[in-house]
Amino acid sequence: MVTWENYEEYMILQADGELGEAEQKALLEFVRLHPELEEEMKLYQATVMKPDTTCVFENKDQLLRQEPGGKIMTLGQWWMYGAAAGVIILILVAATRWFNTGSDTLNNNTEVAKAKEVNPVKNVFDSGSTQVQQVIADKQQHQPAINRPVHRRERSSSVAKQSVHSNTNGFVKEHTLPPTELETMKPIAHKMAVTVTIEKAKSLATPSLTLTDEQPEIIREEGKKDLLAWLPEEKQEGLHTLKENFDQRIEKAKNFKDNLKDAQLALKLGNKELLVINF
Amino acid sequence: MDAKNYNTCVHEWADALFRFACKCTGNEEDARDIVQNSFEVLWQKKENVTPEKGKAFLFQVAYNQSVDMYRKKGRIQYQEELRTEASHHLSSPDLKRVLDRALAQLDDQARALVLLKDYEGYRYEEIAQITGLSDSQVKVYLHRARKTLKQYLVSVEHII
Repeated sequence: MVTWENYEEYMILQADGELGEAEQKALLEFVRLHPELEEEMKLYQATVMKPDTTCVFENKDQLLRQEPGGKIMTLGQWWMYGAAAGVIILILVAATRWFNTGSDTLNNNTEVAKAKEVNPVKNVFDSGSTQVQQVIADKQQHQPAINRPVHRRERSSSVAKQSVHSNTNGFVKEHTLPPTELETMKPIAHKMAVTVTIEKAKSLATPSLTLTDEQPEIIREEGKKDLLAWLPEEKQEGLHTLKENFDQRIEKAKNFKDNLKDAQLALKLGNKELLVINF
Repeated sequence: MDAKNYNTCVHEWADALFRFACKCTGNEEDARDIVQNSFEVLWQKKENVTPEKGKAFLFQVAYNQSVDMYRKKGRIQYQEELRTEASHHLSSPDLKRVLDRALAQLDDQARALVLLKDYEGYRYEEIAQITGLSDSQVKVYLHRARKTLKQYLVSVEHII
């Protein structure tokens, strides 16, 4: 209860912000009943000091500290290093995928080249016989789909023409014969298809005709000569061209590994080198 | 408290500590020294101070250093400003200057108590922990300080 003996204490407590809600109401009621005390209450409230927010401590950075062995990194630096790390990861993933894809393509090409060199006799029967085509189709099913050679034969009454094309993904041959010749060659083709099938099995079983890296060079060359003798000259040329292309590819792949050994991958931001990787 | 919490205290309380030290010492250079010394002590004893108690620890160190400095240098003196115009009622800028002079009239302990109360909004118990006084002592000293400030305002009003 506010009285004349304790009203000043209530006013000071009010200036200090220590009065409760009930006590605040009691004081205001007492001042309302005694208006002459209102000026005094305002004077006590005027003694409350307000901080000058314009007064600040300059160069707060001088007060900052860091843990021993640590480094204070600002948000901008973190963002920069994070972006650089992301770029490096992307480059490594892309390089790994490209290298693996190149290896797979090379393996497929070498398999096709070996299959062609082992069984070149099938090209002799590119005469339009359906049974010969079936034998060839069976062989093709076992070859990789990426570099499967495509054979197309068109029947026409015009003069037979043939052309050989070679490219990185396969080769296309076109060979046309007059219908009369096709009719006479059908029974012959049938017999020879059976012979080819048997001989194909023998060639696979006969180590001397298998062209592997482990065979002596002389035996391989002799085996090649026997097989190539079955072929017409134009086809032999085509096979030679194909062989050269494959050899070039293999050479490039071998050199790639050597080149990669001496290669260097560097990541720079402006003039500053962030990361250098030596293979 | 680790380095991260310490640096947070620097960003949050360096300005308030500087204002407190300025009013206690009346001198910006002395106030900067007090602030730097206070944070130095906090860094040295950061293992024993929790982040929640960081502010109170800083003001306690600053209060002790301002009292020591006051005892070494004697009574502080504010630069007096001559007024050419007389006004019957005190305006806000005038009131601020008058209050600053009134504050300089208080002793170092009372002045620190008023600043801790008005600038930082500490309660009587918290001021007691910072200054090492009892709750009742804080209440009595603050009451006396308020009366002194009020009487100074009244006397200035009568003169003007």
